[in-house]
Amino acid sequence: MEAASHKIGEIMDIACRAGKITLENGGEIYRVEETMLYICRGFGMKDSECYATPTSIIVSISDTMGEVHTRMIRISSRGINLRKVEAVNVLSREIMSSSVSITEAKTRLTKINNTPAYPLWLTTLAAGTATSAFTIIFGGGLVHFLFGLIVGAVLNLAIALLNRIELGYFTTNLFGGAIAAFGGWLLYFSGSITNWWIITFAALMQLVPGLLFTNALRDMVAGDFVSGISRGGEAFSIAAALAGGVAITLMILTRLGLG
Amino acid sequence: MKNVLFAAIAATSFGILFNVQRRNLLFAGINGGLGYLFYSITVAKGFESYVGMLTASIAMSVFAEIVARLRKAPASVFLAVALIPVVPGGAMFRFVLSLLEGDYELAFTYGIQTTLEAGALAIGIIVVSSFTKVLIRKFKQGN
Repeated sequence: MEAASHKIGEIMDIACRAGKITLENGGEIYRVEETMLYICRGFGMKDSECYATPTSIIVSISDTMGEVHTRMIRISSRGINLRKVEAVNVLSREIMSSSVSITEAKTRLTKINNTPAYPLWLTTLAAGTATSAFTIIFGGGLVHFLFGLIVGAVLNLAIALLNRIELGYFTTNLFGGAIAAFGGWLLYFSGSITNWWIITFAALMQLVPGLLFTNALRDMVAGDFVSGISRGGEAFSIAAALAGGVAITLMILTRLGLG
Repeated sequence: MKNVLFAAIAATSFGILFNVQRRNLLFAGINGGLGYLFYSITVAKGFESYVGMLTASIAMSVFAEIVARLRKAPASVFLAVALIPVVPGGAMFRFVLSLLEGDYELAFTYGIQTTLEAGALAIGIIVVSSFTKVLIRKFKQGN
């Protein structure tokens, strides 16, 4: 009896950690719920339920004695690291086909959580090339392409710094919008380009919540209404922060007579 | 058509930002180009932009599901990155910006555009993944 409930605690711990990693790194709601159920069932807990929203996970397992064990965890950080999502997905499938022991699952989860992300220089370069590519898609020329590389890279570095000092998502995005607007304006003011918006918009593509909003509607269509509303609200707040940053910056520059 | 190449470059770059494994990056990037190709063809035929989003998302979802089976990775790894070049992030941003500037008519236009486009993308993704699930179930029963 003692051993059994101890085991349930460990299974819940594994399921919760797997769900947390998936949700914190950009996994979909259905994937989080599916992953946790796979893990519970794979370890022999047939009678289990899981409910996830973008900000919390609740898992409940009833043991053979009919006693119900429940655990709730709060999710506060949300980023995108698809490598971790993929690794947890693979692990849950292996647990489902019951070839993984509890201890092994624990070590593998710790290992997944500590997987190094791409180094900062590489993501900065990627942010630069992404911005450059978007300037061309938005109808810019070679000048936009080259300056886009710089503005995109600077914005990525600035965001990495703001994330490190943990300013919170709203202020971070507010500053992100301001930096992108200032970069575009600086190049316009110095006469390098004839319009500020191509570079600003292209640089902002790395922050803009288009994917988040699409996922929100995807949740809605799939019937996950709570998470659909929640993600939609998150997307709107991020867009508001970015637009606020751009608007305030341009307003100040105009008032200074530099617009 | 050069935009298709740049959409692929943008998608690959976002693959790095989203920490997609190196061995999956190329396919995610190709999928981004593919989506943009379908989008531009549809819009060039004179359809509304959200119709373009629908064809693009169906094409990308089918490609992602196929590649996912070949590479033994979740389809959304190839999809999330590929969606970036067509996703209406810019329209959503412009929606809030026009609100702040007090141009409510323009804000309304962008708001509707954002919702229609994101909705079309979502519908395409859901339809393909539902069909895939049914197909896989049938296939497993067949064996």
